[in-house]
Amino acid sequence: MNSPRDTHPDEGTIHAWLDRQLDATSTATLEAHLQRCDDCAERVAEARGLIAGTSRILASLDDERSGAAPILRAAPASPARPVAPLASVPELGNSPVEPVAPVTPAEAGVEPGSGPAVSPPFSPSTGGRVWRAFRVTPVRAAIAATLVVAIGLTLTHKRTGPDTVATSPGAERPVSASAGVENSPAQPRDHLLDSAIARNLAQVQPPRSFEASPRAAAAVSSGTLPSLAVAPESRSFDSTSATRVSIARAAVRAQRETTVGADLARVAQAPAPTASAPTDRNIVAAKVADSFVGGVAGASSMMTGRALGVVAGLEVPQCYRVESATGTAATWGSVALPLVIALDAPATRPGARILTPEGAETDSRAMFERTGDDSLVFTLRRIGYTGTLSLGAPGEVRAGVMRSSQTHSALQTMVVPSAETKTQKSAARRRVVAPEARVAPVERQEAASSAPAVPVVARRIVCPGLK
Amino acid sequence: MLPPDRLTALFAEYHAPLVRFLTRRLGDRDWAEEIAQETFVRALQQEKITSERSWLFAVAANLVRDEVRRDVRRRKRLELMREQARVDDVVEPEPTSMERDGDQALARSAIEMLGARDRDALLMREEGLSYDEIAEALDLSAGSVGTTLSRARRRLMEAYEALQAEHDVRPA
Repeated sequence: MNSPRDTHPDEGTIHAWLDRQLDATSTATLEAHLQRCDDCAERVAEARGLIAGTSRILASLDDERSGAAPILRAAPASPARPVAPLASVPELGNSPVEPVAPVTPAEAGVEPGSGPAVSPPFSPSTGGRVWRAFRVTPVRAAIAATLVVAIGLTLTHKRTGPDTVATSPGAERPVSASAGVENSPAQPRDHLLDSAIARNLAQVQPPRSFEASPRAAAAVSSGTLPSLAVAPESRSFDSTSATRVSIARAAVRAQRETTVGADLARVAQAPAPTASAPTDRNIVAAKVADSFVGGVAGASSMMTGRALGVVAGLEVPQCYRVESATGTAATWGSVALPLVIALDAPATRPGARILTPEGAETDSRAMFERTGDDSLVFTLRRIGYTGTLSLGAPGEVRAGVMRSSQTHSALQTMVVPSAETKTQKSAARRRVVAPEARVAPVERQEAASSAPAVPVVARRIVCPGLK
Repeated sequence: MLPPDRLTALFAEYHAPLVRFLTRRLGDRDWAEEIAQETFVRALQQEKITSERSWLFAVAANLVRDEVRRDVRRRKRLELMREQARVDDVVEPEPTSMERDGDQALARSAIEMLGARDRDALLMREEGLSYDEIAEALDLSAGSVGTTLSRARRRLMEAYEALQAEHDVRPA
């Protein structure tokens, strides 16, 4: 209830308070009154709305381009535009603004004699047609919209070019493995997946400069793999990309089917069309392993990389050296920067080991997943700690943000579901989750998100111990 | 005459907000640039300016007022010519600013419906001038700036909503 002594502030005072233009005494008085007076609190809310609304209206005026308000705008006058005499300029101590005199009809009337400065630019034969020429009409808007759509379609078509090359009816099919799967008439093409695979594979391999992954090279040097030394002319970018797109598509389809083993065997045993195919397949497998880490979109890409790792019989772990971008000392969980994240081989689950720069094991692990097309998010797995590490676009160096903190509760927040297979995950989604189980991940996430962020950079390195 | 280095500093600090203020006021960036330039020329001619921001905005507001007054006459003449052109070219549909520019035209119309003092106070406040500076620029008492602003805001919103309602019921 309002005290009789309270005086309700006028609207100007409320606006002044909201504009932070009241002195301290008035502010305190007003705020004390607002604590007690619901009516004035409503008026304050209304005033806030007015301020926000007017700001929005005025901000929309900033979009006006030159000439957007032709009604007010006269033609550019002579270089020395006439302005108010100096006597009208406010001086301190004088009245800075003279009262606004209303414009009388006589002032606003047509002045035939004042034509020279005005009439040429605005004559119907010049100025009027200029305005007409730039006016937006429905027809012009429709033409513009059509052009925008056409350009968008063209660009989209160009971006999905590798897919078209690999699957067009007359195009060469470099690897018969793809033909073995693709020729199945009952399987419709997954264009979205195909184009995503093609685009990301193209990103991880710059045109005309092909390099095998460091891990694969190490494996070759240790004699565990067939030689990767392929003649440069046989590593045509287009044919290699097409090969990888075809293999990726085949592997995804194989993975989708229930008879995974049979299809994979069929893919692996398919005859190579050229003499260099076995070597190419190893290169492809290595690069697909890269793409598994570096950018094939979403879970499908993970599935692709895993399947291809199996196909080629390769296990190509990837390592990232993570260090602070600012040089400050920081820890991720209990492991101090710099650290090394060694991703498990593609054929296994999406886990990673946390190593020291020298390659020594730590007591921490991480799980990782992709967000969007090319970002990696690692989730720390360490009892007593929670944390995330997000890495950005693929490449030799990825920028990212790292967070970690100690967990506050003992057991509840430490309940970490073990790595699930795809089938288990599907089942888990259908399963009714107990309230306690739902709480734990949320708490972990909040704890991690409230921890201070540390900007980091991650460089892909040869895994310690594999050199 | 103001020292050139002082003028340079003034320009660096206040040119952008002044142009924005004038653009919002006039609806024309080029015109706003011209008047801003003229404002700084006026500043150069001063021996000393103590309250720089309010002085600059006051001079700019004065220049705008003079220009607009002059422009009203030109506008009348232009409208007559446009009427004549419309008669000559019957194919051209009547171009209404609201149809062309949508919300922007509504905002422009609404701001034009305010009184000059309310409009200037509102635009100056949007550029961050304090109540004291607005009072000095518009020759108001400091205590009445809040009332002026609250009135201006309310009227602007009412005008905008009325225009919007009118625009919505108008057949396409």
